[in-house]
Amino acid sequence: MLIIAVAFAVIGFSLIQLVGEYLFTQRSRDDQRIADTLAEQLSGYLVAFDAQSMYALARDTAEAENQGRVLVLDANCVVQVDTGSRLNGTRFITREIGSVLAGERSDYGYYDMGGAGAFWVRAALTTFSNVSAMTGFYASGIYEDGALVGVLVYISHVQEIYESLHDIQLRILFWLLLVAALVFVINLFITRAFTRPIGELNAGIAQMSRGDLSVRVNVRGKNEFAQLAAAFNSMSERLEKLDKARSQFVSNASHELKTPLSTMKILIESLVYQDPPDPEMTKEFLGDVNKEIDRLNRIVSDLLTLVNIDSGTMKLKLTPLNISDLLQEQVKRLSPLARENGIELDCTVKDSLEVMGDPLKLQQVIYNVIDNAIKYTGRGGEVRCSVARAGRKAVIRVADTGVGIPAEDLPHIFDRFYRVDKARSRETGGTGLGLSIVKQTLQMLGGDIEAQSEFGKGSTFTITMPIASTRAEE
Amino acid sequence: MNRLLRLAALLVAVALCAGGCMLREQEPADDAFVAALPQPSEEPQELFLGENTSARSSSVTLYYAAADGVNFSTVTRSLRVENGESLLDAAVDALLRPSSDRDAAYFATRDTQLLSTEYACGTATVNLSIDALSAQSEQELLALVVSVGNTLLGIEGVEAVNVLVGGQCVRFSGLPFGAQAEPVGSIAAAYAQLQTEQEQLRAGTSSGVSRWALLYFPTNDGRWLVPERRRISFSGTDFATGLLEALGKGPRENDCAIPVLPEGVELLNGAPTVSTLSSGEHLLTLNFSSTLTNYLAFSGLSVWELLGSLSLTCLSFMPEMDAVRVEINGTPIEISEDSRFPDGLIRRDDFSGRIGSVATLYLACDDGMLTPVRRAVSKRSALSARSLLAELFRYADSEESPRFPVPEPMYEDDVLGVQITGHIARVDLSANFYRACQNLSEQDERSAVYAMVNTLCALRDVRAVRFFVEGVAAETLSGNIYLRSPLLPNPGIVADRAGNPEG
Repeated sequence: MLIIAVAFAVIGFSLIQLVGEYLFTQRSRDDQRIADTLAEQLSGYLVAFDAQSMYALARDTAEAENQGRVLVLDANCVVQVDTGSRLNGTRFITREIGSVLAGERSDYGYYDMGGAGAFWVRAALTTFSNVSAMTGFYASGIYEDGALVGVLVYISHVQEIYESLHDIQLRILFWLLLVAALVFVINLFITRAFTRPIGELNAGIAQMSRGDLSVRVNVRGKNEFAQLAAAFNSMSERLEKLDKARSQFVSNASHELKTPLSTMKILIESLVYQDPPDPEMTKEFLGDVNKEIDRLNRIVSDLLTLVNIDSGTMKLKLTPLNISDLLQEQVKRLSPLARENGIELDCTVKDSLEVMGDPLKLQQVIYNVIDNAIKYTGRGGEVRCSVARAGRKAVIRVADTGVGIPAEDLPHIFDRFYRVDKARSRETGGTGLGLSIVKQTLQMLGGDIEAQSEFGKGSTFTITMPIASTRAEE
Repeated sequence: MNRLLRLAALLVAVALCAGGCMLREQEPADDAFVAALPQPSEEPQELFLGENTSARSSSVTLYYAAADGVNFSTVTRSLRVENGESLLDAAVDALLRPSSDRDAAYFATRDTQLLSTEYACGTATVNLSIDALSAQSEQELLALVVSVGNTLLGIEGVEAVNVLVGGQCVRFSGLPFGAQAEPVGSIAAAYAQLQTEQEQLRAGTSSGVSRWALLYFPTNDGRWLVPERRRISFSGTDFATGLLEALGKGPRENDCAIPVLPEGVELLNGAPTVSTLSSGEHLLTLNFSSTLTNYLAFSGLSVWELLGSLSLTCLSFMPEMDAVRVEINGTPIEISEDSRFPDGLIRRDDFSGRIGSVATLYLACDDGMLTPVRRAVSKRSALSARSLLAELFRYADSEESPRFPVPEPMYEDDVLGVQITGHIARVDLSANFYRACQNLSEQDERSAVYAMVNTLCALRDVRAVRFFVEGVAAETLSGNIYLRSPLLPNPGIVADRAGNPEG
């Protein structure tokens, strides 16, 4: 804005100066020519003291040239002819006459005759001051045989040019200020348009830095600022979710850790205050404490696994492996448990598929999913595992006829510590982290897991992994 | 934001001010230039008294009759005019000397001399010696007269030339030649014209012949008789009646002259008569009725003014006339008991000393302009710078307009001297004059100085005036008009009678 204002001022003043110079240069050139010509014509008359001829010629020239005024000065600067007949006999000198006396052929300047009617104040053509009688003053040497014998002064009224220029000056000034004002206003709007979203974003960031992750900024238009605002909103939304998840996770973890600790404390206090100690009860209580310790150990192991996954420190050993064989192995491993629980566990391999993955991790994933299905399927139920090719993916389905998952819980079953039926989950020895570990492990391996379920009828978990040959092709 | 706005406004204001200062360039005139005014060279103190005109050279075109006797051959010469001599004398003298030009014929006899010249009111009267009449033919005499006329008409200020030979007007083909107001191109054509006019008059086929005549009118101050050229017509040989009728119409150009005869009144008892005296002189007799006496009493005109006007007018026109006798009812009129003309004969010389001229004095009006005032003065005074200044001083110490704006009486003695050198009149004024001018306003100082400058520059030999006080170059009279440089006249300050600037 500042640069624009200064630029406008410079342009305006330069324009005024240029116009003024042009107008007055033209006029001064014409008037100087008149003065020079007249000086040549009057030379002989001045030497011959022919005042009448000088006066007649000077008067005719002055009248012909826009009612100017002519003075003829002798070598002593005494006015000998004045078409105004008021300066005769007086000594008269100005800067211009001084220049001619000093050897210049001619010189000119402009004066503000003002009310005094005297050549007192030199005036610039483009002055903004109020000049009432701008007058051009042209001095030209009168020479006879190369010697200066006098000075001719031609005085012309240039007030009309000055007034024209003054008018132009005012117009330029007016338009300059008007345009400057417009530029200022437009700039204000533009600046606001730029700074407002940044300001809002800044305020949002500041609010966020204070811990308020619910802040959102308005998204207007489709420009870069809007994209930035949308990104900010997206970021803050994710942060909020993460924060909530973290809080939930901490809460859940605390709760999960606190439960076995509380149980152990109760058991141990019971043992401490038992008097006299009952060996049977002690043995039982210590067995329960041991179980709770195992449980704590599992929870901590799962948490460490998740931490490793989250921090990216989990190392995967990717090798080609036959996922069909892997599935069959895990079904085989869990068959005794299924039989123990009166559950029919079978495995159908439709295609022998090879995937790239860490055998241990993938084995753990499949194991957990089948184990989970067995746990939540009642006696006489069925758990059916299958592996098949679906396009370029290997799809493993583990379908059970268990309790199923309520529809409202289905989207959260992969969340950490999320339990559909918390009491039952703990009863089954789950930590609430298994499915979360499964999903994140699969995602690390390039696969995924989904769940479909109908409450009371059973659930189906579908694991997809890219086929190794397909990845190679890609 | 507010800080930024304030800063922006401040910078814009500074830029505007800087721009304004850059564009505005007003400054007073530099006193250094005033100090650098050139100073005229110092002149030694010199007291010059009286009036002195240094010998000067003037360029005059002399008209000689060409060898073919038909046209004129002109020679432009630089004539040296000595102090006390007039340019008219020098020009006629030069003309009467034989020309070195082979094409120029010299018709006047070697003995022809210039007896006198009179210059008054733009008219020059040249009196040649009687030897001029020894020309071989009338045409040769005409060539001589016209040569003089053409030559003098070429001199600045000469509007008419009247040539007398032996104090008489010359006759050509029986008719008066009168004054010459325009140059004549061809001698033969002019002479043929004169002959034709004479024949037509004799045959009675002409409606009239016209000539320029010099009419002499008395001035309103009763001191002088001033000439005025007038075109008059006559149809016979009674030239005197035509002249009297012209006089009766009064002066037309000189506002300081007055009528000498009543207009439209029959004053003559009979036609003027021309007689020859026993001495061989020719006499014009004008016999008036007693009405003239009544007119003189009524008009307040003096007898000498009447006689001077009649005699000078008639004897300056009528050819070969020596004297005039003015009678009232047959009795010669007398000026007074103490002043009588023998036999009532009045000759031109009796009143030639009364011939005056008109000087133009420039006097100041209340508005600071100068107005020309014509005042009758002697012929000598009209050509004398000192006398003109003295005339100007008569209007000093006056409250009436126009006046000479010096608040104290001034006299001719306050002009210590005038020296005219190289067209510059160096006027030495008295200390009394200088003292009286010390408190003049700027307007009065300008009017006083230019009244003197313009008046003196009306003289033929003066084009600029330089003032001194008691022989010393004075700076100014009262602080405004610079006197150490010759001053040229100021035509622009002169207003006509209506107050309009003349140009």
